[in-house]
Amino acid sequence: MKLLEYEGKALLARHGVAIAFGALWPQVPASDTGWMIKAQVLAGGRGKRGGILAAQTREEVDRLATKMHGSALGNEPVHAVYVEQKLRVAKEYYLAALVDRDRGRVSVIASAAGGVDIEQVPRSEIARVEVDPLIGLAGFQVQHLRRSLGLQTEAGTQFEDLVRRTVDTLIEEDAELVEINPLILTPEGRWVAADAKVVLDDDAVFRHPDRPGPVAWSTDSKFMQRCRELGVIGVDSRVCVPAPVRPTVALLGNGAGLTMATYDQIALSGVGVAGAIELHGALARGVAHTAEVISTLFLLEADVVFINAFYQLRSTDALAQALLSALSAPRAPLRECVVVRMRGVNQEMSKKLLEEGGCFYTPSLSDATARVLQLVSTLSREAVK
Amino acid sequence: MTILVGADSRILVQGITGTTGRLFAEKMVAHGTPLVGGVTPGKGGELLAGVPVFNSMREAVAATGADAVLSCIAPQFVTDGIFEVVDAGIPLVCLYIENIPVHDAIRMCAYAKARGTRMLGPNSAGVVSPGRANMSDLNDNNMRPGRIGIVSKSGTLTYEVIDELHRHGHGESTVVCLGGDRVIGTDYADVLSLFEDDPDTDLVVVIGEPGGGLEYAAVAQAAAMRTPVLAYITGQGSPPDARMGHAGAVVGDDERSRPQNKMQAFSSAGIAVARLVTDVGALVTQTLERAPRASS
Repeated sequence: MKLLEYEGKALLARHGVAIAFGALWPQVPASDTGWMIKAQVLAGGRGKRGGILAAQTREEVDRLATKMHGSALGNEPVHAVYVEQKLRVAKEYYLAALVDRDRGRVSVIASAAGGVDIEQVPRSEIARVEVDPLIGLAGFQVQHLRRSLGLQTEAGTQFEDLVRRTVDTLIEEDAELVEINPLILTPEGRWVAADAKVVLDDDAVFRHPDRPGPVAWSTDSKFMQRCRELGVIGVDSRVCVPAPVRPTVALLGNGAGLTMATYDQIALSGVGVAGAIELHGALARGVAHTAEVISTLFLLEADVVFINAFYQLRSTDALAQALLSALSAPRAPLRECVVVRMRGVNQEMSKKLLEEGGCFYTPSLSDATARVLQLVSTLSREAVK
Repeated sequence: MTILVGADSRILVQGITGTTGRLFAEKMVAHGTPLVGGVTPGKGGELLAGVPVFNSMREAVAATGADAVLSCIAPQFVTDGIFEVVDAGIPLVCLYIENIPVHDAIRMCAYAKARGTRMLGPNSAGVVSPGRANMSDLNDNNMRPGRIGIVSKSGTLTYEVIDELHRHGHGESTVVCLGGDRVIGTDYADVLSLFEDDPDTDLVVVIGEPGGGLEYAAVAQAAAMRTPVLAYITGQGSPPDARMGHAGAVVGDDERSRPQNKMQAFSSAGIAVARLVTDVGALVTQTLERAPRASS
């Protein structure tokens, strides 16, 4: 889960990384150097799109912040407006600690070319070390980073301390990424994180029971919020640019791989997918719970519903019952617009249940895909008439 | 011969007295998988599914000569559990549990590598050589011994590909699930090199997905192999930034993580690529006809 700048900075501050004095508007921090007004969005490149503004007076802060509050940057709503004391800058650097998934290790990346997208910086200007988890971040590695950035004397010593604190933040907060860009060296020789991009590990939430959920989630669709409550994985494609064109299809699959493959079966044929749910073991929690998950799928308001479940050791009866129960609720889609492909132990029983309930059933993914595409094409033709 | 597990494997279930562990143990015994015991601290001396339960890995290894472990213990104990398996010198462990914090996975993988244990997972559906040994959640009745190898992060997609193989008259030598997490113990290239040395595997299907770049090492390995390889990369239509259920499967800012670029890498190396999962079966037949394995 991605955090907004001010949420990420709060985590850095807990580990002793200096941040600028700041507050969520309408609160405004005291400052005798002026203020920066910063739109809290997850997307990068805010500065270039008017998401970071400077103000000299309190009146100007209020005027600009009022305008920014409740607006949008691109297609993302501004979740909050963060006002910071303006920093004096001697030089901008780059520092990040992250999980390098292919190497299976934590990497630390630093560069004297800060304030720009790190992808734009030539490799020769980027220093990188990999942390062996069995020994931790070693002294020689921190010194290597410091030397690569050409830092000497007191600022160099403090930089080493900052690197350690940044890696501590990554590991102790169970983050996948902690990026400080720009990292500012002030004329007084202090290091301050001027921005923070933090991505937390969804799977480590249980280790941080006191931590609030990410603020950006609050503007998610009702569909996404309901998926989280039910412990399933939801994908809401209606927010994509360009948005899927009607008639759309909503998908439900078991297992990440199968759900993605099902998505491809439809999307690669040029048909709009409104979104998907990956059951993520929901079936083990019973028929009623699974019916709630399926009702959540209906929130996508798609024209066709495609259920694709392939189980090895489990019977699909419970899923069939859950589907029929969800379909008998008010505002459920018409049964003729539902396509079910199910495989599992005792699948003949599910076939009988579903066919008696008026749903199309097939054990074959190819046949199910063909049926979905045929329904969509019929609906398109009717819409033209 | 097969790879990783076979009729001469000596398998333990870690957490054998738990709900998941017990189900696996009973399934293994019912279908003739060489299960030699299980481990649950405090339950040593019991019998379950006809095999002995031990208090520790070291005891179990001393008594049974076990060489493979399927780990299905509760998530809060799993890091220590994997450390214990590695410490006992077991050459192969499959970690079935999902939702493991990535920093725990990093430590487990590093320790396993340092001590010479091959770890599949976290979040691996397991490994199975049909008709010989099944250390996975796949149903023995849904598999057919044969000559096609499969290596995949996803479990459910192997079900689909196996189904595809059967529709086209093929069967499986070994099916290896690497796990869908961001950091995993074994990669595609490792498994491909094992398949290359297996005289009973005629072709390998690589199933990739969005996220990370382990598929690129697989391209290099596959290009150097005599055994033909075929790739299918799922998630081509996935919206950017959406977690589709696998912690690792996110189409991110990184160009390399995109399925289309992975497919391109395979194609450029002369490796056949299936566009849809329902194209895999026919493409396997076609690839086998075009490139019969040199008899060696």
